[in-house]
Amino acid sequence: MSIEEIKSETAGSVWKLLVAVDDVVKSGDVIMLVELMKMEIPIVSPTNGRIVEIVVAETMSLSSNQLVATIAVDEGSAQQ
Amino acid sequence: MTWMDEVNEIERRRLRALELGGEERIRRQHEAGRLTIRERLEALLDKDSFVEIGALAGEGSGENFIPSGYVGGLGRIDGRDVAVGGEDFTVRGGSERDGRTKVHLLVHMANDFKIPLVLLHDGAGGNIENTIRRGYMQIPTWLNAAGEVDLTAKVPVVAGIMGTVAGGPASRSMLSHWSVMPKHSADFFIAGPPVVKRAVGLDITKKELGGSDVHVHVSGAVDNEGEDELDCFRQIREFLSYMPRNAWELPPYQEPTDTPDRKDEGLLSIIPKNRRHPYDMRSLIRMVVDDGVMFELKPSHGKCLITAFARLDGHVVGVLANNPMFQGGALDGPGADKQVRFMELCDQFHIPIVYFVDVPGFMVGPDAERSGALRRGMRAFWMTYSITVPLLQVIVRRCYGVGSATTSRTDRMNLRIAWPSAEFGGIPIEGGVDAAFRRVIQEAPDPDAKRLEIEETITRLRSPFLTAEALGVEDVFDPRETRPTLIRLLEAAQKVREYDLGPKSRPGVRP
Repeated sequence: MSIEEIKSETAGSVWKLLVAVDDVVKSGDVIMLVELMKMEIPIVSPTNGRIVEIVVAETMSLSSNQLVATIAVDEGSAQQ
Repeated sequence: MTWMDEVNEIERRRLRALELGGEERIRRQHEAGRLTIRERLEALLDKDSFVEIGALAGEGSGENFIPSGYVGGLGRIDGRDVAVGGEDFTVRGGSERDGRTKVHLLVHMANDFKIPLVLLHDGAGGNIENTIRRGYMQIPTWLNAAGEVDLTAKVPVVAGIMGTVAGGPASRSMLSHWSVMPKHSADFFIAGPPVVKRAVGLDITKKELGGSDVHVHVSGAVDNEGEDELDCFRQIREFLSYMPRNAWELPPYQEPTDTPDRKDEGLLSIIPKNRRHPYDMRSLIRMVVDDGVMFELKPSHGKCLITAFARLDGHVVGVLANNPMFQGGALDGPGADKQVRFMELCDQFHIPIVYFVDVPGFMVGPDAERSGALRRGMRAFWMTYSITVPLLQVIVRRCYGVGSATTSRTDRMNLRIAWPSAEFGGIPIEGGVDAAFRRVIQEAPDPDAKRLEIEETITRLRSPFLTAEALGVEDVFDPRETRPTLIRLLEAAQKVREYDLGPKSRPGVRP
């Protein structure tokens, strides 16, 4: 099982967390919304898997490319 | 009597040149995940199109002969001539001897024949051994520097960063219109780890110093990343497919396979009604351009702006589009730099521009201030006002502030087409109201209610229909009509480019 990092491409502040640790998500699922310039920008899961860690909290400010969560890749169904 | 003996000697020497730096060094090149220069040329160029120049050059004679560290000549890409070459890393790490060398010959060839120049860099430039051989220290002198600078006004110049590229070759690669490097097998820096160690006392690997992670994703010095060398060559061919041979010709028309009146239904719903929800601008562009095909330049840098080549009814267009997924599309320093380079490239080679606008303005905040976002943004504005190619603007959503003034020109026809989702303004309502009505709000019995009341009054004025009634925007139309409308307008604008051929000069001083 491999762990993958999920980063926020855009800077901004964490607007809403939509998943919790241990949640199972699919590739493309929105895991949180980052707010900047009055826009709620989604961060999507890059893979099928289980959320291992969330390293940010709501209202926290993010810089571009900052780590926001890690995910344990579901090897069985990760291939698309 | 014939010259057959001498002719055989030519053949023998040519065969020697094909051996490059010898089997052992070729093996090492392959082990580094890299092709040799001859393999690169074969992969890049049309089959059997390479005409080598200077194959007999080298050093020593007889058994001790070593070919020169550069392979170059004339080739074809998709049937069109290019001057092409690259360092041979298997010979002295691709460093050439002093004086007039093959790369200078290629620069002259590109200039004299007015054909694109494609350089596949793999070398570190100067070799300190040369100093010992020469017997004196030399002031760095760039032979034909003016010619190389001037060439960027005349023909497309492409740089492939193929191996370890530093010093002179790295510098030369920046005098290009577009550059590409493979993800894993190339490094690019001003000077490599040994020089860095002595100069700044830092132990650092080549990859950390100048891999694609640094130069494609962080510095933006190199425009695009390829999966491997072969992917880089594919991208070079693709880039050139949008370019004319030189500034005196129009970009290549291609018989379209898409229909001009195609109206993608997706355009009707791609912009969310909720103003806080972004969308995929790349999908929007694909719905409009021929066959949904676009070639994005610099996709990993200045991400608030998308710059791409595409075709509309077979004619090349340069597409600029704000990216709402990255800081809401606000134009920052890197995005502005990207706009400046792309607009200048399009203008130089007579490629009309379509700008899909969704910009809340220049990026704001301390990072933006510290990175000079306003000066860089105004440089983009300056460039918009110095180009002469046709420029069309489609306002798909937000069009606010001076940041939005980099997307069109008020001194020209200024045909701005708005979608019903468009909204405009000098400054945003949220925040703008607080600034302008501070006292009124403060003095009201219920300040929050007062603020909301003023905001609602102004929000009612946000409809693009009200702006269109005043001809404040030239037209509002069905998003599905975007493709046929742009094609019709560009059709009328094609001819004018013929009156404007040749290199362009820029007036004034950039901000």
